[in-house]
Amino acid sequence: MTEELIFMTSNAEKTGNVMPLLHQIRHALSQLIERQEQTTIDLRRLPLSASEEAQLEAFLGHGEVKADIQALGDTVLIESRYAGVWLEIHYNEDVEIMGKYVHICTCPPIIKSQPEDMVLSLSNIVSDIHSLSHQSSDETAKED
Amino acid sequence: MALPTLNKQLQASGISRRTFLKFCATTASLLALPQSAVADLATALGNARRPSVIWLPFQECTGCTEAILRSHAPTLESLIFDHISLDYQHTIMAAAGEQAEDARRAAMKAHKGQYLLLVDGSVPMGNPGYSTISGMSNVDMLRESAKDAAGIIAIGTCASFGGIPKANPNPTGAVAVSDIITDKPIVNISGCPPLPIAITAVLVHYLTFKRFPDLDALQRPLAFFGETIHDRCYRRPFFEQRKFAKSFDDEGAKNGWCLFELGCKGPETFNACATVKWNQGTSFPIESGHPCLGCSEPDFWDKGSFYQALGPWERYKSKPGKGAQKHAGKNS
Ligand code: SF4
Ligand code: SF4
Repeated sequence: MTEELIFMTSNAEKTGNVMPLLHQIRHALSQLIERQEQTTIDLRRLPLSASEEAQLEAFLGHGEVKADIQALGDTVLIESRYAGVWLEIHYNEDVEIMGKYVHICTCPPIIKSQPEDMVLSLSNIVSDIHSLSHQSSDETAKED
Repeated sequence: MALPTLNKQLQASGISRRTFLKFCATTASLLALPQSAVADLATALGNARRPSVIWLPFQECTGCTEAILRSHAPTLESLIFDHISLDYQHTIMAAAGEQAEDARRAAMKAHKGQYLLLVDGSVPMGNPGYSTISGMSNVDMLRESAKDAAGIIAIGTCASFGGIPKANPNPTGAVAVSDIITDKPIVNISGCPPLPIAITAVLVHYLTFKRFPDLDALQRPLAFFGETIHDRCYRRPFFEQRKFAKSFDDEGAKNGWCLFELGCKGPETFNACATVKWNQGTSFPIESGHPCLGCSEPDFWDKGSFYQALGPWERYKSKPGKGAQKHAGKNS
């Protein structure tokens, strides 16, 4: 995986970083197709003014997938109109942006179910089924 | 006594792995670590033992403690802070007097060489009796607690540089932690108060890499103190155009022009307020129309009026990163 670090600023100045960034995304997409190499671009790490950030997001647009994750604040994942190019925004509980990334990959890692969570899920599902079956047998006993 | 791993601790609190990964991604970003390091960071941090922390509040106003503890738990930013083993903090702990001191000594014994020491407030050297805890002077308590600590995090400008108690004429003979302890790794997270997220990020770095992050010449983490407020200020274009507010209610102030002539210390102040912001990310002082006071710098209280310009505009014009280089480059 490769990544570029890009800093975000809130000033209205033009930094001129949008075009180089778009070329980087294009290059990363061809790397993904040819070598299955994933890239993450951290949008906090290079100067981008608020208007340039909006310009970047407008260029990428929205594709077929939008996912909302609730994990101590929302995380929004949007596949752009270019398949394989994703925008990921992490918010905290105060809806403050904590991180913003462009992922060039088939599926951003955070959307996948995590092995540790699945292990816990398995024990939860076992105990929930157990309670349900007890509940049903109690009800059957009452009916009898 | 081995404390549980953070993984176990988080799981027991119902924090999902996905939430933890989100925390690791945003913290890596704050620490300027590459995103490719997130998976490794999550593994190392998750397997780290929940750290034992002893927090000594000395000659302070409790502003630092307030800033850190005010965030409602659990938050993404305070995820790690909520899961440390805070074994001593006499301002907030239920125990008091000898009982509290016993808890501190028990934690020091159980985690010898491994616990982290957090200190806020300066240490009075003029007369140790100016500030005591359970009859023990601050300097004695600091020396005793630092002896077996793995490292020390000085929280706030008072602990980092002496702060307001050290302001002229320094009636208590206040000094910084690093003036007393010279044989331990020390990180200064200055600010009056300091940014809570910088403390969390330093804890994460320490737990993951077993050392403190890269520091500037004043022992502050470069990821948060590598640039000035001015470097990241949204009013910067007005500064470059010499468009200044001359009073708090003139046209310039109403237009949101630069506060340099109203005494803004942003060009000489290293901190991350302009990007991290305050009050749940609402704003930072300059966004509210007030100049930066320079509170994360040594002796900020004694550098003349808060409302007097730093000097001629030409001295500060278009020199981004000037100060970053001034203080850059020291490793822990
Ligand atoms: S650094 Fe500021 S907020 Fe912290 S204790 Fe000192 S005076 Fe209070
Ligand atoms: S002098 Fe102060 S208000 Fe003006 S640009 Fe610099 S930091 Fe911002």
